Amino acid sequence: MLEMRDVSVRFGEVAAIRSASLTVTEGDRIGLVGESGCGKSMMALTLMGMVPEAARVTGSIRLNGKELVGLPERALRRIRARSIAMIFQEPMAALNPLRRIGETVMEPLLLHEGLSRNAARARALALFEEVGIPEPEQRLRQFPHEISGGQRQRVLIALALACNPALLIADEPTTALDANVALRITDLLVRLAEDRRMALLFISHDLAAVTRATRDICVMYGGDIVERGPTREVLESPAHPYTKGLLAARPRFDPAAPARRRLPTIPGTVPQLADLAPGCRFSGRCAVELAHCARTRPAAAAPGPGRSAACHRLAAEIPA
Amino acid sequence: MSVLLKAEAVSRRYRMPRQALFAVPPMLTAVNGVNLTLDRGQTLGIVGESGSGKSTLARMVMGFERPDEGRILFEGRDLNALSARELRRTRQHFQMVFQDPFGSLDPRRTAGWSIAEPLRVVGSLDRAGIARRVDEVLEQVGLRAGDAGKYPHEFSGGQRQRLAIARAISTRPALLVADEAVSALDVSVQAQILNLLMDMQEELSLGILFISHDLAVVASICDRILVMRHGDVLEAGDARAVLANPRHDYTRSLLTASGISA
Repeated sequence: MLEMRDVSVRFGEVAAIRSASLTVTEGDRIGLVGESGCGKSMMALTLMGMVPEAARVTGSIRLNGKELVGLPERALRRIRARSIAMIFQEPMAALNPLRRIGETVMEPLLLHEGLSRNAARARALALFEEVGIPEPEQRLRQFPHEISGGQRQRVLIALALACNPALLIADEPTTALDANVALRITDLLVRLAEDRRMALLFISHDLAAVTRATRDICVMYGGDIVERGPTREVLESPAHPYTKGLLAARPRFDPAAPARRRLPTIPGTVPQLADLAPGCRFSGRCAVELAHCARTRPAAAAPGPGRSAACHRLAAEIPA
Repeated sequence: MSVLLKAEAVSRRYRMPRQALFAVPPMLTAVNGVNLTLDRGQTLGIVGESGSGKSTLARMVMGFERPDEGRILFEGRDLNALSARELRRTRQHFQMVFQDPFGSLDPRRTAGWSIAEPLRVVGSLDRAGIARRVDEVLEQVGLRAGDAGKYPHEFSGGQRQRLAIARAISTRPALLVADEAVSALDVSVQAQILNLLMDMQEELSLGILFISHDLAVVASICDRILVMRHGDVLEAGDARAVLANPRHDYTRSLLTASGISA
């Protein structure tokens, strides 16, 4: 359905995304994880054709066979509205505070689907029911500030579903929510993806949510997809040193371990994009670095079936 | 081990907007008869979601707000029985670190100026003494002494949280209240800051009141925990015992949400 091949996003000399490839087929649920500045959100914006003006996108993004890279904004907007939808971290910022919720949700139905006001209203109500918003009639008349954060995120999901997208990109959809609410929103997204045979790209730094929501996972660092594979397998036996470090640094509850034990950390901090090494971008922080890591970019090795990790050390151990 | 902080049946109520012109305004009980004890050098976790009352409790412990009922005892002295002057003097012994370090650092002032702020309030050091102490705490939290002259935007998120911790420990407090202090940080940075808090705790035998919604984080740093919902304490006790064997469905649901149990 969606094929992203060797896509790079550059700001001048700096690559925010470095030849990333990603294939999404119907019903896929893919997690995109990594820390701030690793390029997760840039990936989403690239797929949406919403990169900042200063960015130069190269490579190929095909949606149902149609090339998106290089399309003019107007043509992109049409495709985007009908095939790809996105929800964001902060539901309050994505809703116009001065408009009633109903107006906002009906807008795409009037604009892109050409429905009458009555038909749009009926669809909006049906969408609200689908995403589990109680008293939908009343919600349509309310303003965003009158409902809770979790309800707002449901409204945004309803809005995203309005034009029956084939792919829903959820960028940190649960980060601003309380744990229990986040859990329900995660489960809702999974149910919707299954019911509608809709693909879901779930971007989050919350590994617990990603484990729950997705079947496959891509781990990003410094604009590269460094590791990918089935979510559970990657998280249970990570292959890339960055994935390993990330998982080890995660606080866990282990009743057998002594109290207040120090967490393993990854030395250093995520470098600025301009300071990244031309080779492996994790070089300089990596515990098992080889002499040539910083200079040459590692090819993908296969630590298991359906898995890949871009690491010189791994490539030396297991042939691709 | 000596008791550092004690809350005795503290309650805090807020008046809600009235529903009609002459109606009696409804009251919201943000904190309802909470008891807690924190020993020197220990960490007490306060766990709950938004609206649970955990931040209101923190504000009362810090003396920012008065409880409507009950007492807050810091080293045996009732915070709300102190005069304004005495309270100001006692303040150097308890400090707070917030979730968003950017919001608590003045963007137009250097890091050094912000770190020195509580020292200036205390007023026991001269200019040179303050500068020396700033350099000292910067190094203690893993930054460089030279960083004092930089502005907040020149630091990363993790470094800004280190600055906030440096400021909090500058007066050598006995109690640190950390309100969602690592919640906005990435996993690898979060681990560094949690380790730093544990290091500072050992060096200064700090008592830490650690407020968080994330049970996995709480599990890794706290000795004891208190689970709150809608102002009430649902359960309290040894952190490992509570997490391994939660009595309350609500605690269990938080465990699921944190990915600790399925």
